[in-house]
Amino acid sequence: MMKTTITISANTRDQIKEFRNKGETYNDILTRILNSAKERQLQELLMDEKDTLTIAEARAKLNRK
Amino acid sequence: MVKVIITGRLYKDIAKKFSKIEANKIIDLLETLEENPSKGKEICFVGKIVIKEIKYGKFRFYFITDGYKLKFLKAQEIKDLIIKFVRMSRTVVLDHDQKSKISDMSEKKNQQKTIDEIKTVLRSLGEEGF
Repeated sequence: MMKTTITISANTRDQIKEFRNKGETYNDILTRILNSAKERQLQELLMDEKDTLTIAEARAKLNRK
Repeated sequence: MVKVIITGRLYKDIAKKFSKIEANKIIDLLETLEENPSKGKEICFVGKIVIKEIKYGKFRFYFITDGYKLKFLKAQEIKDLIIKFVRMSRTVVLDHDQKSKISDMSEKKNQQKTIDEIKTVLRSLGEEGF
C-alpha cells in the first residue's frame, strides 16, 4: 500500500482517535468512517424518496395540468 | 428492478419550461432508464454515488445512482436500483451574430454550475438535500 502524509490539526486527530477500536490504525478508522459516510450518502440522498415523484406520478400530474 | 424517480424541484422545472407534449416526451426519455440503467454519460463519482447525464435536445438532465451497483453488476443482476433525477441545465441561447465560441463557453459554464451544485449536496451528506 502506497502511503502519504496529510496535515490535520491536533484537535481533529484527537477526535478521530475517539473512534478508534483496539488495534486500529488511523487508516483503519478513517476507512471505517468513510464507509459509514458513503452508506449514509446512499440512504439519505439517493434512497430517500421524500419530495420525489415516480415516473407514473409525474406523468399523471403533467396530464392533469 | 430499477426505479426511476424525479425530485419535486426538477418536476416543477420541467413543467414550467416545456409544453405538456414535450414534458411528456422528457418523462418518456427518463423512463427508458428503467430498462436500460447504464444509459447516459458518466460525469463523476462522489463516494459511492455516480452523477450521470442524458441529453434531450439542448437540455441535459442529471441523475444520481449507486455507482458501484451500476459499474460492477450485470444488467440482470441489478436489483432495487434507484435512479434519481435531480437537476437539468440548458444551453444559453444567444443572438445569432454572437460567436459560437461564446455560446459554447456559456453553455459549459451553466452545465458546470449545475454539476457543482449536485456535488455540493452529495458532499454535504444530506444536510441540504435535493
